Amino acid sequence: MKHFRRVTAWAAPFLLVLTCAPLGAQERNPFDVLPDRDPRALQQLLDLDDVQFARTLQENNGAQFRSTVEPFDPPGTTVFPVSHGFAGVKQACLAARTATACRLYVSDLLAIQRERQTAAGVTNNPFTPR
Amino acid sequence: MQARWMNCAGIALITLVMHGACLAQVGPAGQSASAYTLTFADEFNSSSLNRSVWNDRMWYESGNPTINYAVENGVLKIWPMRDASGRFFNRTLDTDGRFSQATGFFEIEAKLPYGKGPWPAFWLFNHIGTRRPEIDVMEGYPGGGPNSGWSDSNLHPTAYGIAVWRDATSLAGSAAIQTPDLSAAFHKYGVRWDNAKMTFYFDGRQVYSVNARMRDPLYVVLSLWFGSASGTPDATTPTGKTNAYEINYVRVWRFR
Repeated sequence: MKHFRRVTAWAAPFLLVLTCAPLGAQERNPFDVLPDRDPRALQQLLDLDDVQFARTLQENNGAQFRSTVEPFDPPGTTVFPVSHGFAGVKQACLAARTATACRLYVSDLLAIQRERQTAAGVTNNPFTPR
Repeated sequence: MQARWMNCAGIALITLVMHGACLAQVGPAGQSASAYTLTFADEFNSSSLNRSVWNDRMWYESGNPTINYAVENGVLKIWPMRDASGRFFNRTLDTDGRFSQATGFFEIEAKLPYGKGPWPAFWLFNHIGTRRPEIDVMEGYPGGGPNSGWSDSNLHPTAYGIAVWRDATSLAGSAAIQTPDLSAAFHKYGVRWDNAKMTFYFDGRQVYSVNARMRDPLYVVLSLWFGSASGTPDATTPTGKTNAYEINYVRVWRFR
């Protein structure tokens, strides 16, 4: 629970006000625990058409797909708190390899990497080699 | 012109699921009823789940054929259970495509399961392309244990989490609310969603607020998943109706 702000619900109202998080405070990004990687492999996966994407999910019982995504979200790494939006598609993708869930999972992993680049000013830098 | 706060199915839903005109006079816990108009209510007073209101799976999954939910004695129950393959499985009941709303007040009254693994939750959600805004009004992690701060040594939940996500991987704010044993009695969990601020309530008392502007209408989700800070369910996890996530009602209001 260390990453949450603690509030005691049965405390007196004045205490609740004091212990509430400051409005607008910067929240730590729970996805920071995931490694930094070049996201091009994820983009290439998303660029596949539906037939190719489905084939990738099934090939070698999903081994090729797992080898692409695991460097971005290694097994055993705990993201917390985690949204149901992310946890649900990850679980559905890895357990059942449904295409809709897997596309969203890959899209989320790509968004995590892109957001880091944006935060670092990389994508907004006109001098960045393309 | 269609109001932004409610999709067109909303008015019909009130008629479908509301029992008694007096319910329209009830406001959110701790709030003045005169400031709100009820837009959705399910009191679970029928003999089965109203499937014209509730889906029993997420839109991206086929759903597990093992049924682990029921409406009994005015309460919706969702319980931990193994499927035909022997695995614990997630259950989601949501109003995707049936009811959604932006801003207003959303509240449930519920009792939580205990034990290792269950991840009961009440959340608001939508999927718009790849965007998935989410408001976690209540998430329990009874399997966390006393060292985690989420439960006691008997794995009874003594805290719950709140989180606001602008998108699936973009956190706007979160909090852990310390409570009495949430599996021992029913409690009210609510959120007042204003244009640029979310204020969360436990039994009618404000416990957390965060500045966040979210514009998409969100649908209601009641879920009993497994994992996250509750851990992996195992042979010690109590299964069946006697350890259910029990919901007495779901109510939604718009601002008057």
